[in-house]
Amino acid sequence: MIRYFLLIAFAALCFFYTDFAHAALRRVRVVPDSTDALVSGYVKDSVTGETIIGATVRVRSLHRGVISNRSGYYALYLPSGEDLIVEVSSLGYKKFTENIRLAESEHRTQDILLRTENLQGGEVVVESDRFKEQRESPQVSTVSLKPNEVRSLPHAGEADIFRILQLIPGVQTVSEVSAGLYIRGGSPDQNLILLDGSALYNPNHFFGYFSTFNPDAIKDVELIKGGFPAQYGGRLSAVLNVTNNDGDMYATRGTVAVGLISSRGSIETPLGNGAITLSARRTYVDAILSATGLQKSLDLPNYYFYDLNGKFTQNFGSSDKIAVSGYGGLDKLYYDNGSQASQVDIRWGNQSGSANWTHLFASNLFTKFNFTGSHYFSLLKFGLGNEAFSFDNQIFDYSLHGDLEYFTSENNLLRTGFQLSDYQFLLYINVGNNPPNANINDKPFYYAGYVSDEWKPTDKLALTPGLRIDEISSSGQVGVDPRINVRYIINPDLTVKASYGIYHQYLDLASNPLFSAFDLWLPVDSTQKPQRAEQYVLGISTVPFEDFSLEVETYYKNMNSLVELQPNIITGSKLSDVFFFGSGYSYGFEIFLQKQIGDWTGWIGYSLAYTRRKFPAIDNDAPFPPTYDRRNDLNIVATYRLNDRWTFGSTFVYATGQPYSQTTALYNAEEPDYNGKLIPIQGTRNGLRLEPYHRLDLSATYSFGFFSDKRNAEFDIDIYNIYNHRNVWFRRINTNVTPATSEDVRLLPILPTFGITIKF
Amino acid sequence: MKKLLLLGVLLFIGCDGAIDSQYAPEIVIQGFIYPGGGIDSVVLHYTTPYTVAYNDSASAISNALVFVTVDGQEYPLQKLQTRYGGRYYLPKSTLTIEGGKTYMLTVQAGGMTATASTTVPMPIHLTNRDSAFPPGNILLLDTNNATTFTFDLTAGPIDKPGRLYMLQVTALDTTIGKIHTGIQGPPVDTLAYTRYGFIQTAPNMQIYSRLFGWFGPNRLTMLALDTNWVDYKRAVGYGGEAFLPYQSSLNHINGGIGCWGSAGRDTVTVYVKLKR
Repeated sequence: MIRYFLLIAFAALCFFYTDFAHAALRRVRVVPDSTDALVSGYVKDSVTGETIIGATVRVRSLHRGVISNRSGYYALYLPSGEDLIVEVSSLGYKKFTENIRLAESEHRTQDILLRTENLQGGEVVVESDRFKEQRESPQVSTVSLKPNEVRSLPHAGEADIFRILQLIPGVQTVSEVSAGLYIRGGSPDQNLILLDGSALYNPNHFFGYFSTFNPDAIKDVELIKGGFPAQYGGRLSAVLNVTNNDGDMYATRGTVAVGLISSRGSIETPLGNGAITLSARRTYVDAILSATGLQKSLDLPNYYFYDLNGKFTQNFGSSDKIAVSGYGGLDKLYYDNGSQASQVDIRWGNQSGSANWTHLFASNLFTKFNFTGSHYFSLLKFGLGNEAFSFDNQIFDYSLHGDLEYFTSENNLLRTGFQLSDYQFLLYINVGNNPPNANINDKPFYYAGYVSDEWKPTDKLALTPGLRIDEISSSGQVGVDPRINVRYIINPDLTVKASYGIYHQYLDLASNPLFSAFDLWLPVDSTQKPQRAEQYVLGISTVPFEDFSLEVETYYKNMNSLVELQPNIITGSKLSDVFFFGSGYSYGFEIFLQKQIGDWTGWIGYSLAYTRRKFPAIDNDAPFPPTYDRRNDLNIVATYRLNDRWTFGSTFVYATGQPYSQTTALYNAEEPDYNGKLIPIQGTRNGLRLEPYHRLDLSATYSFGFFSDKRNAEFDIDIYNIYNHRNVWFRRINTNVTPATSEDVRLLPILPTFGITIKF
Repeated sequence: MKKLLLLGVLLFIGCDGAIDSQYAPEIVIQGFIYPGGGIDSVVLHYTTPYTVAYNDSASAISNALVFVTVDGQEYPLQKLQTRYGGRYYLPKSTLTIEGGKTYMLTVQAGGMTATASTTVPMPIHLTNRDSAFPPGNILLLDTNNATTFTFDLTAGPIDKPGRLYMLQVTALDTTIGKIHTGIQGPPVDTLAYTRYGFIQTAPNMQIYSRLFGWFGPNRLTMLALDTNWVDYKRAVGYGGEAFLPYQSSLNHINGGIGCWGSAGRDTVTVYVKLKR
C-alpha cells in the first residue's frame, strides 16, 4: 500500500512544479512573485546558542510572519527592494528588530540571536505578539510549556511536566498518584509521546507518580490535545512532543538540585562546533530507609529509580546539523528476606536513542531525518528458584523518520514525510518450569507516509489539509487519514479555528489505571481492527482583557475498535484472548484563560467533558463512563513574583468525583473440596461517583547567591494539599469483616517538601 | 457579570446524575461435573446484600426446581439432605456424564430462571503416574530449600486444541502436620484442605512444594477444564485479594452467576514427608 502513498506524494509534488499549477496558484498568491526574496535561518538564544522553538518572525507592515519550527528554523518570503523591519520575539526574550532590504530573488541566510530578559510589565508588546501568533496559527488545541514554567509551580517534591500538563483544560487524571494523561476522553496509550523524536512507552517512574522527563534536560514541551496534523500518527488522541536541550555552545554550565525524594544534576559544555549535555536523576528513598533502619524494621522492599539523558549536537556549516541523543531510565523494586520463596524482583523502564540529521537542500527546503531506537521493558519475577512466576514484556522500536518542509511562498508551506518502524513485541508469562502461559514474539513492520499543506489564500484564511496513510504488517489493514485545520481571522483580536481528522492506532495497551508499572503493549492482529477515531474541533481565540488570552474550544470524538483488558488473563496468543473490543465517544467544552505577562501570571482552565465507552461484553453494551471521566474540571494556576528574590506559586484543582462501580451484594465462591471465599458483586459499571476531588498547593521560591554575587541558587518550599483534604483514591469492599464494609482508600494528606537548586 | 453567569450555567449543565446500583437478588450456581460420574452436587444460593453478614444456610435455595437437559431429555435433580441446604444431585445410576456431550442446567427459584450449558471434556489419564515419583509415591520436602522439590506430572490425551489444565491438591489427613515454607505465593489459602495450582496450557505440570499445605497423604488431581470453569476461575480472581469483585464480563450463566463447569480428570495419591 505504501506504493499508493508514494504515488500520491509524488503526484502532489509534481503538481506544485507544473507550469499549469504555477499559473493557477499564482492567481491565488500561492507561488511567489518573481521579485520575492527570502530570508531564512535559525532563531537562537544569544547566550547559549540553543535554537528557539516557536519564535515569531514577522514584518508588521506586510502582515506577514512565520513561526520557527521545532528545529528553530524559519523561512520568510519578503518583497525585494523595500526597506522592511523584521521583528522576532519569543516568550522570555527581548524583542529583536532589524532593518532589512533584500535584492531581487535574494535568498539570505540570517540566524537571529535573542537575548533573555525577565518578564515584567514592560514587555507587553512582546507577549502580545506571542498571543497574536498563537491565535493566528492554523493548528488547534496546542499548548507549549517551558521548563521554567514547570519548576515555578508547586510540585510536591519533584517538578514534573506531566503534573503541570494535568492542569491544562482537557487533560484529565485518574488520581494524583497517576501521571497518566487522559486527554479529551482518550486513555494514555492514545497519546503519542516523543522525546527528541523517539516514541516512549509508559514514561513513568515511581509506579506512575512521576514522568520520566527530567525538567533540567528539557528545552520545550508541546502538547497537541486534538486535531494533530498528518505528520503525526499511530495514536488516536494527542501528541506530546518533548525536546531536550541541545546544550550551551559557548560556556560550560550546570545545575544541581537536591530534593526530599530525589536529586538531579545536569551539565552542558561546548564541544567542537556544537555542544554536549548530560543530566541525571536518582531517587534515594532506598538509601534513607536503609540508613534509618526502617527498611529492616518494617521489612520493606528496596526501591529506587534513576534516569539519564544525554545529547550531542554538531553543526556542519549553515546547512547541516547532527544531534545524537539518548535516554535511559529504570525503576527497580526488590525484596529479599533470605527465603527464596518470597523474593520479588520488579523492573521497568525505557531506553531510547535518536540520531537526527537536519539538512537544508535550499534555504526554502528544510529536511530532517531521524533514526530512533526505543526499548521499553517491564519485568516481574517473584518466588525465585524453580517455582518462580515470571512476567516479561518488552518492546523494541527502531524507526526511521524523514520530514521535508518546503516553503513554496509566503503563503504556502508544504510538508511531506515518511516513517518506517520495525517493532518487536515480547510477552512471556510462566510459572516455574511449566509450559509458558503466554509466549508472544511478534515482529510487525509499520510504515506511514504523509503530505500536508499550510496554505494561506488570504490574509484572514488559512487551510492545512493533510493526508496520512499507514499500515502495520500484523493487521494488514491500511489506515487512510484525511485531516484538515482551518483558521479564520475575524478581527485582530478574534480568530476562529476548526479541525477535522481521522486517526488510526495500531498498538493496544493493557494497563491498570490506578497506577502504571506493568503496562503491556501489543500490536493489532487479524482478530482486531486498528483503533480508529474521528475528531471534530471548533474553537475561538481572543483577547478578553489586556494582557490576557482566552481560548475556548469544543470537540467531539468518536472511537471504534477500542480495547478493554479482560480480567485475570490466563493465556493468550491473539488479541481477542486479551481484550474485549468496543467503541466510545467523547465530547466537551474547554475554557483556557491565560496571563503570561507581569508579576502575576497563570491561567484558569475549565473543561466540561462527557466520555462513554461501550463493550458488548460489559453490561450488555450499555454505555458507561470510564474511570477518568470527569464532568467538571477546574484548574487555577497562579505565580506571583514579589521581587527579584521571592516568587510564589499556587495551584487549585477541582474535579467531579471519578466514577466507580458500587458493590451491591456478596456470595461465597466455592469449588470442589474448597469452602470458598466471599466475593463482592458490583452493580452498573461505573454507575456512581466518588466525592468531588479538590486540592490546593502552595509554593515559595527564594533566589540567592551561592558563593556568588549572582542569584545562582533557589530554595523552594512546597506545601502540597494545604488544607489537608484527603481525597478518595478508590472505594473497596472489605469482606474480611462481618458484615462486609465499604472502605475508602484515601490519597495523601498535607505534605510539605523542600529542595534547593544551584546553577553554576 | 454576564460571563460569570454563563460560567455558572455551564457548571450547572455539567452536574452529573448518579446511576443507581441497587441490590437485586440473583441465583448463584456452583456445579461441577466429570465424565464417568454422576452429578454429585449442584449448590444453589441467592446473593446476599453486602451490608448483611453472610450466612450460608440463610442464603441457600432449598426450594428450587433444578433439571439437566442432555440429548433432548430432562433429568430433574434431587435435593441433598444436608445441614446447609441448597444442594442438589443426580446419582450416576440415573445419569452418567459423558465426555463430548453438552449438559444444560436450568434452575427455577424465587420467580427467576437461570440457565447454563457445559460441554464436558473427554476423560484424561495420567501417563507418567508410575515414573513421576519415587517408590511408594513418597515425596521428601526440605523446607529449608523448598526449591529442590520438583516433580513433573503428565496426562493425556489432549482432546481439543487450546484446552487448559489445572492441578488440584487435597490433603487427605490433616493430623500429620502443616507445611511451613515461609511466605506462600499464590495460590494462597492456608485454611483450605484443597489448593489449586495455576491454570496451564498443557497437561505437563510441575508439582512444586507450594501446592501442598499439609504433610501426609495428598490427592493430586489433574483437571482438563471446560471454558466455563476457566472463566469462573478468572471471574473470582484465583482466590486473591478479598476486595476484588466478581468479573461479570466473564459470567456464563444466563439469569444468574457462578459456575456450571466440567472437567476431565485423573488422580494419584502421594505422601509428603519432611526431609530430616
